[in-house]
Amino acid sequence: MILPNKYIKENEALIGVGTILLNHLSEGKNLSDLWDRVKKIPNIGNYERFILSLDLLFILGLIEFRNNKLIKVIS
Amino acid sequence: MIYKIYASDKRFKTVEFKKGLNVILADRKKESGEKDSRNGLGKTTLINILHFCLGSDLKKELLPIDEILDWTFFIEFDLCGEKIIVSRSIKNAGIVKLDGNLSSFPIKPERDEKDGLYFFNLSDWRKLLGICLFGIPSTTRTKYIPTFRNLISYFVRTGLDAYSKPFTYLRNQNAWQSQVANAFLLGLNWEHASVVQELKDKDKAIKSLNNAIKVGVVLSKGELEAERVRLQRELNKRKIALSSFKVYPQYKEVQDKANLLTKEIHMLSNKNLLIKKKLERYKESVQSEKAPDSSNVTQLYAEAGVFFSDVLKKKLEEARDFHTKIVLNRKQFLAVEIEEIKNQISVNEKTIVQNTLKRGKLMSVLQTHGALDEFIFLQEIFIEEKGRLEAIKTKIFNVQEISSRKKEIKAERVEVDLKIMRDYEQSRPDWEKAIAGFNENSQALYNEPGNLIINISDKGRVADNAYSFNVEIPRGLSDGVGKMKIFCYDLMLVDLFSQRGRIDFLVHDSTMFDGVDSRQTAHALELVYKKATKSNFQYICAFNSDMLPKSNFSKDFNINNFVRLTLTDKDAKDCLMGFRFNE
Repeated sequence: MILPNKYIKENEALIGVGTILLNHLSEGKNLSDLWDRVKKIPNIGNYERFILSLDLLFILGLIEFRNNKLIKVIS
Repeated sequence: MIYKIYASDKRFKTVEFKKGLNVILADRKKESGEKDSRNGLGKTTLINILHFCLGSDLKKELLPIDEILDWTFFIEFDLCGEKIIVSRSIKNAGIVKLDGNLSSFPIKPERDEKDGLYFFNLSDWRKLLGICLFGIPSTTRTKYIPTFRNLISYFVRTGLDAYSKPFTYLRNQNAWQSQVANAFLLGLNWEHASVVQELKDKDKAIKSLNNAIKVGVVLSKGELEAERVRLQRELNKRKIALSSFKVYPQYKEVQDKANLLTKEIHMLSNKNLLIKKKLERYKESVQSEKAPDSSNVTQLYAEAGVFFSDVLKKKLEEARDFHTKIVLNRKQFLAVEIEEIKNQISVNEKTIVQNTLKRGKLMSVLQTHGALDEFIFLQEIFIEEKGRLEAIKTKIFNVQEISSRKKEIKAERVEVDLKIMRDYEQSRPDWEKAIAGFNENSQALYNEPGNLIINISDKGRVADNAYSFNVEIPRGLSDGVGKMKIFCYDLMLVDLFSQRGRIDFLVHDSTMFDGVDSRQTAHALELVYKKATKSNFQYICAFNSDMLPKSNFSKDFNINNFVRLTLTDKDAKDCLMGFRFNE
């Protein structure tokens, strides 16, 4: 599910979603706020994909959940 | 009998009269216009002077006042059985002075201290003349009574209009004047004519009151009553409304508050609508947001490990931890939101209920009370309608008044008609004498008896006169018969009155014989000579010399024996006044 392949289209792959989410996190946001903003973007798909994408970004060390906010990790 | 008429000025032609026939002759040599007294020699002026001595009003049209300012006129005549001299000056025309034995006069004169002469003011002089010459009785009536000046105008007719009909001496003479005078002269009850005129006046007054009421819409009495009943009912309703009207002093404030509450209720209702929609959306989110479970995270981690092994930063446990946290976070968020909205909705609804109750209380005050100005307004309408009701009541009253007064007047007229009829019969001997006298006179002139017709009204109509007078002479259409009707009437009257010891002179201007057949004229003069001699009265007439029917007189009748004064236009001093004046 992370990368597109024979069975997963590009716009279905989580990596794409993660990229979009990252773009929305130039400043820290709480989850509901982020969800409200991106739930309409077609590539996001559904809440499940949204959560999983966030999980992915976390795994990759790109975001953190601090003080009830999702923030980008700056290296 | 009139003995003499003269003036203080020497220029005036003194005239002396005798019993019986007297002729004043005007001998006009020069050509001039006929009827009016322009260039007149004084025939009419003499008659006006006679009137002046007998108390007429001093008028410029009748005497050349400006030219005779310091003249005094004198008349010697019999009054109340005494021969007296009466004088009246132009300057002091308010009184007449008398000389003679005045002891038996029914009205006592006053005495002038300066010259010792007795005098009367005009009003008393006229009264005295009325009593002595006509026997006018004293009366308590003040209106529509026979007066001396009124009656003398039938015995000394002056002016063209006086020679038009026997019963009048003015054009358009008041009906009552003619009625009262002729009734008196003919021996009928004149007071009834007076009453008849008073009833006519009352009737006129009622008619004008009726017309005044009729201004605007004309309603019958029934319609007025119906309107009155309707208004009365309206008024009663309003009275009840007014008495049960509760004034609430702060009505306006209450009204404003109620309106404000209404606004708030609406606002909150709308708000709740919006909030409920929000709630729905959140509930939907709760339903639709199915978070992936931890097995998904494991799978994800594994896959990430495959592709991003060197960038993997977190351990699986950390990933799972993160995942749990964020999912919970969302769940909590939604729950809190939903809770808050539900609260808000509940609070709003409570407020709405409270406001509705509050408003309900205010509304009930508004519904059972009124504002002060509305009360005042209702009061004003009440007063206005009350006014209208009063006006209608007055109208109804007036209509009833008019109706009952009309009936009264009709009844009074019927009553007086009965009296007229009764007295007509009782006075028959008197007026039959008058009729006989007139017939005799007309017979002497025309060889056919004419008719003096005296009728009474019996129809009970208020507008009718009490008496109707008429004269008929069969030769109705021939020349001058109209004048002779008057002649016969006047002659009859002076005959009767002189026999009673009352007025014993009759004076006619030359107009009397204008247009009369010369044979008739001759007959008339001979007739009057006969009668006057027999009954001892005096006839004075004026003639233009060319109108004297010299050739028609009987052989032994010499008209010149009766000429007392001849006026000519040979010289200015040969006219009556002794000088010519322009009128």
